[in-house]
Amino acid sequence: MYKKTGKELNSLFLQKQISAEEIVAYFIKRIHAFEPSIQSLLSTLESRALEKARALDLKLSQNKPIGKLGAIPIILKDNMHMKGEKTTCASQFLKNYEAPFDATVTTLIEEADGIIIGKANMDEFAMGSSTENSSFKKSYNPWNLDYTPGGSSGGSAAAVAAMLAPISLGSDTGGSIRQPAAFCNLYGFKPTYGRVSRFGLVAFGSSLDQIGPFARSIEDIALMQEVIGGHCPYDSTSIPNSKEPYLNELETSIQGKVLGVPFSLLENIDEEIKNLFLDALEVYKSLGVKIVEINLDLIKYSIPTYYILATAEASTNLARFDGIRYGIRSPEAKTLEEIYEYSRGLGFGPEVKQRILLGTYVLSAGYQDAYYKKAQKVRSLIIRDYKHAFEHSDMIALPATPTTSFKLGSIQDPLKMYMQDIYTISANLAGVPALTLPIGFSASHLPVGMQLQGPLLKDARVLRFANHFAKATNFHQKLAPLFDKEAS
Amino acid sequence: MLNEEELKALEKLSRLRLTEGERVHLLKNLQNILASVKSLSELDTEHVEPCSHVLEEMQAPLREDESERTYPRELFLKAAPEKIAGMLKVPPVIKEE
Repeated sequence: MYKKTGKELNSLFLQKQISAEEIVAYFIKRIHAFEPSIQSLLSTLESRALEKARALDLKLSQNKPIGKLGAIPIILKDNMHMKGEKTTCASQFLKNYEAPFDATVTTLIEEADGIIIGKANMDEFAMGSSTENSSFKKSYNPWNLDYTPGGSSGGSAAAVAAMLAPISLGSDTGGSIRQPAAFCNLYGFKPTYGRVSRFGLVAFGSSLDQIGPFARSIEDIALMQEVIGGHCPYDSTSIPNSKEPYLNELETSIQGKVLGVPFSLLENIDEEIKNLFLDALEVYKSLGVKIVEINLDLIKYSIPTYYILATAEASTNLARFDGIRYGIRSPEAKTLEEIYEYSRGLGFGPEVKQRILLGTYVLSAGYQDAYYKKAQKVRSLIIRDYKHAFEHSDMIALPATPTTSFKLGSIQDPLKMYMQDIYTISANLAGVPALTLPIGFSASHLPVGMQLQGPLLKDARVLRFANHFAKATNFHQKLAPLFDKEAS
Repeated sequence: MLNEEELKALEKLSRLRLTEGERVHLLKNLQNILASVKSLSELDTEHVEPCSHVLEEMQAPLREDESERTYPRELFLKAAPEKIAGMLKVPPVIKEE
């Protein structure tokens, strides 16, 4: 049953071949068996999930209408609120914090009868590319336990790759869904900015953050987007009239469509990844897609642009963690100033501190024009490049990452770690929808992904391009061998 | 280049107390990162508008000035590290002269 997609599990449930309770109990058993070796979760919602499942079984037996996600086990990244459950953001600051309300994605999933079974490990406050910045524990890549699952949504990716659930949600500010998806042989989708509500997602870089799904099938990605992609009045950046027919459009032909490729950006990546990427382009050619060269040279400026804008926004967003309204308070603090300074000093890890300080620096008097405003202008230039590129192409193809997964502990230099996001960050800066899809394996059996980026609001088109590739190849069906077995 | 004194000023601005060890480590990192972002100055942006929202046509939405959903105070106070009589507790901020 672990090989089944979310959609397949839902069908079995609707045909009454298996109950929701059996499905949930089955995946909880897998969590007990396999979670100790991958450490992907920060909490398991066992009794809550079983209770929901039993209620759903009753609902089906009474012939009441069942939502689109009926009986599908789902895992959330631990920066999304579920009322009464912990939201820690993998930070000591929030280690005991319980959410007082549901995130919009939580509400939508539960209204659609999806069953949330756990909350996933992540880099603290979503800052990182390896999940090593979690203040609680490291997560391990199901394809090779010496390697990182990527980050910041590393727990969400590892859990789906180990088949602890068919679908999970992550958040993506600079590549935090797409890089772990590439490292774990998954689909990982960052929708158009504003497509999925950020209400109840702990904010990192508000002009860049987007929630999106991980899955092992493109239908599951489409299904999830049908449920969570919609307007939300509680998020002022939520796009009005935001529904797209994701599932219906999957089969529409892509013959004659144009795929733009910035070939000049392929120079500095692993030869293996480059070759698999070029092979993937051949698959598209065989599907009748025309490949054209496009210019996105400004992508090389996307990392400095991002590290100014994202840290500026983070320093502002994380000001709310003051030791007064929620989170921890330093027992040594005597004055109001000390409460702020000591509590934040105690509760935040080094990467978070580094980014708050950097963000404060680029926003401070005398530096704001040189750094923050400059970066906002470069962002406009990058957006302009994307607009030009989409005048000549229906879709853009890029590698997802410059390398395959790396060994835990092997990257210590922050600048080197930031390079992980060289191909992903520009989609956040431009707001465009972007998907990682599996395209093969390295000689050392580590997954390799590529990225499709579509024009603003053309999320369904991105999924359609990926669906046709999936039908011509079988990389996405390959499962992590260590977990391709029943829990005993 | 960012120096130790400026870092201490940044700590104040950020309301963040670093340990001595963190200070040494972060100073070096921040210096490297700030040096690397300097590459943006290669680009001519004199006539470019700064971007603050990717969907240009979107306006900040307004709603009627009516309260709609509220949460009970107890629920939010539950998250506070120190409270007293249904309120957040902080040290005295107004001092007697």
